[in-house]
Amino acid sequence: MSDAIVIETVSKSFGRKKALQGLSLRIPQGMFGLLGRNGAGKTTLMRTIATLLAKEEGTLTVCGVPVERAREVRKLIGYLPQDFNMYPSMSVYDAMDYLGVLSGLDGLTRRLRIPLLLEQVNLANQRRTKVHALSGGMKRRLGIAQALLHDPKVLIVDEPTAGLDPEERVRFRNLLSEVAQDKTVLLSTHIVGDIEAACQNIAILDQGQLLYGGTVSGLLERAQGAVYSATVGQGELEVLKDRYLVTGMLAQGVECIVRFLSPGHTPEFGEPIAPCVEDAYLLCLHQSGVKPRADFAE
Amino acid sequence: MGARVITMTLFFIELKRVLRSITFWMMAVLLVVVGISQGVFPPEEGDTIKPPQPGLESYGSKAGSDPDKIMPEALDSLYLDFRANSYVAYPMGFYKNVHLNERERERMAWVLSELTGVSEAELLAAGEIEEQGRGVTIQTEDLERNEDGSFVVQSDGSPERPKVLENVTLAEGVSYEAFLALMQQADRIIGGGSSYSGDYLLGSFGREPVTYEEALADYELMLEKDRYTGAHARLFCDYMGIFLAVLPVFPAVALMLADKRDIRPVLYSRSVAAWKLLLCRWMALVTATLLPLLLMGGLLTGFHCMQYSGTGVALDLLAYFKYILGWLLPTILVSSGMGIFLTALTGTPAAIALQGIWWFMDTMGNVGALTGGYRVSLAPRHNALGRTQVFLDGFGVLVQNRVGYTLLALALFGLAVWVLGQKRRGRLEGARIAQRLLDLGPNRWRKH
Repeated sequence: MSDAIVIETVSKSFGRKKALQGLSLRIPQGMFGLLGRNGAGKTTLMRTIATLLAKEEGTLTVCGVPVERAREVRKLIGYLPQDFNMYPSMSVYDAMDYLGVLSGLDGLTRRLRIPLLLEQVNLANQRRTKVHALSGGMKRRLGIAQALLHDPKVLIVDEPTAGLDPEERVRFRNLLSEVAQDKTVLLSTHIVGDIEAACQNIAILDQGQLLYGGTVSGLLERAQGAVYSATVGQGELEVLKDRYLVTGMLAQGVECIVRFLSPGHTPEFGEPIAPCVEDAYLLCLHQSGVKPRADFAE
Repeated sequence: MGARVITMTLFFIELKRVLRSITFWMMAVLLVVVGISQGVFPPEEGDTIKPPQPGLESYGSKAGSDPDKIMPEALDSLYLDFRANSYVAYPMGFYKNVHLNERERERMAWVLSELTGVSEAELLAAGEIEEQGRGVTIQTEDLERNEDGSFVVQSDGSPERPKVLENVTLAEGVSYEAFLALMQQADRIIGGGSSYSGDYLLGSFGREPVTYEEALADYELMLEKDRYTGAHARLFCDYMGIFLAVLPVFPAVALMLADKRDIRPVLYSRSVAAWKLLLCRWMALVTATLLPLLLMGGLLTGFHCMQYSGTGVALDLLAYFKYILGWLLPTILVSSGMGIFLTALTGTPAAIALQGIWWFMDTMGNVGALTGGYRVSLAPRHNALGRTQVFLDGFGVLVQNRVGYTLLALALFGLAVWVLGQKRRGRLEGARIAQRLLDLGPNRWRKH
């Protein structure tokens, strides 16, 4: 049985809003990043895979099992939602134990796995701590531990690093990479750095449609020769912002080092530089006709 | 085997959650307070069962069964109320002084006319006189003051006062059935809940004293059928049932509301079946509610053992447990089932309000049948120590009632399972999820 998630022309609407529009995607084993703006359809897609939302059209299988067979799919997946929480008055261990029971794990398996997982996510010393007393990072780590509790083949993590400090973020990312060794991990984020650091494959969504699906290196390749850097004064900066999509600025005294996109033609100033994933992502949005948001264009 | 053990583990975890909740403890304390305040935990001193002694002045009274006593008493009362145009009623349990309008008075006059044979016009006239007052009206401006400041009022003794129909009697040929039907009509005109309706009528008029022989027969039934403790357990269940028709909804709602929006996805994405999760929760709630009752039942059984130790009566040591499980359990199943279903459906504490309304209507609707009100009530009433014959006569109805409510509870559970199944697939709350997930508010682009 394949460990892949196969999505074929899946659609889902909420009233008039089309959250997913005929989306087709294959998510193979390993870390898979899902990038997109807020409202792009990332969470809807993840919830649909996690059987928490019913699709309206298309087919979706998890390790060969159609999502309609929800109970079977739930045995295969571990899900960490964006706003993970548990009963505040439960201790870390009790919360894990409760969720283990809900996953149908017998007593022996729970007794063996829970301490191991708490150790793995560095929460062994907090096993008696109440959930309400955990910090944001600890809660997120508890979230990943509960998602791994029944040793699922597929792990779905929705914006796991949002709100974490840089150190926690790196630690969390590394943890995900560790557990992804023999699993399919679907990671949604709008922090491009997370994708860059951890994922081999990536999909970019916008308004429920697939803008790009493939490897990270493939995405970078598409941006080759389209990213430039220039040192400009304040007066020129405004002109540059009007004409190009600026992806980074670094102020240095009265001057500014600007990183910008110029796909298709060579700009009159600036030097071509190697693209990063963020450049490639923004270029992908730009080339797909996605308009920059108002505050970005300013 | 393994699955059964896991289900039992889930049940115990849910039970632990219920037992640790403040709403459960509030309910448990309230039940004990009810038991104490109503004199059933422990029973009051006067509530000791003993054989009636011959020659006592009174053995109490009972609802009448003799139409020859019921009919004149009820008719007198209705006529007095009609003349004063003032009726006392308890619609939905609330006291209400009802005054009829002209059209209703005419309809009531027709009812009285049917009962008494007196013409409607004569009855209406009597009513009007009563309403206008039968005294003499003296206007002060017509009076002349004496020198010392006093007034003298003189009467010429002329018999000008209108003649009042003081009493009415039942017309010849009015059968008891016709009388009951007319009284029912009178009650409808009043707006319901008056002492002229059904059970109220029999309880209010023509009450008869209980004879020694009847008291002895009741005692012998308590001895033979109830073995004392059964009679005590019935009274205990009568009071507890009233409160169990509403209290279990509180811990049920609290337990279900603990599944907050940010907790639900983690629970819903587990492989546990919806019916299994809800069944464990429901049974945990029911077990937790039964615990204080069974504990009180156990303590009361011990109390009765001491109370009746010298009587030589073989007490039924399981009576409290049988009554708690047979009489109270269906009530608990319904009120907690309602809490689970409505909270699963709405995600709000609406169940408390709805169950509260049902409880109020049920309790107040049963005021007229405090002993033997078994038919439709969620909390069947038997507000008497003894009256075993009433219990035995109504036992079949009581069984139907309890089975019916158990089936209703199962239906509520089935609906709750369906609702949870739908919600786990994102149905039944699609609009709210959409609003949250799609971030329809002003978008923000963050520069990294």
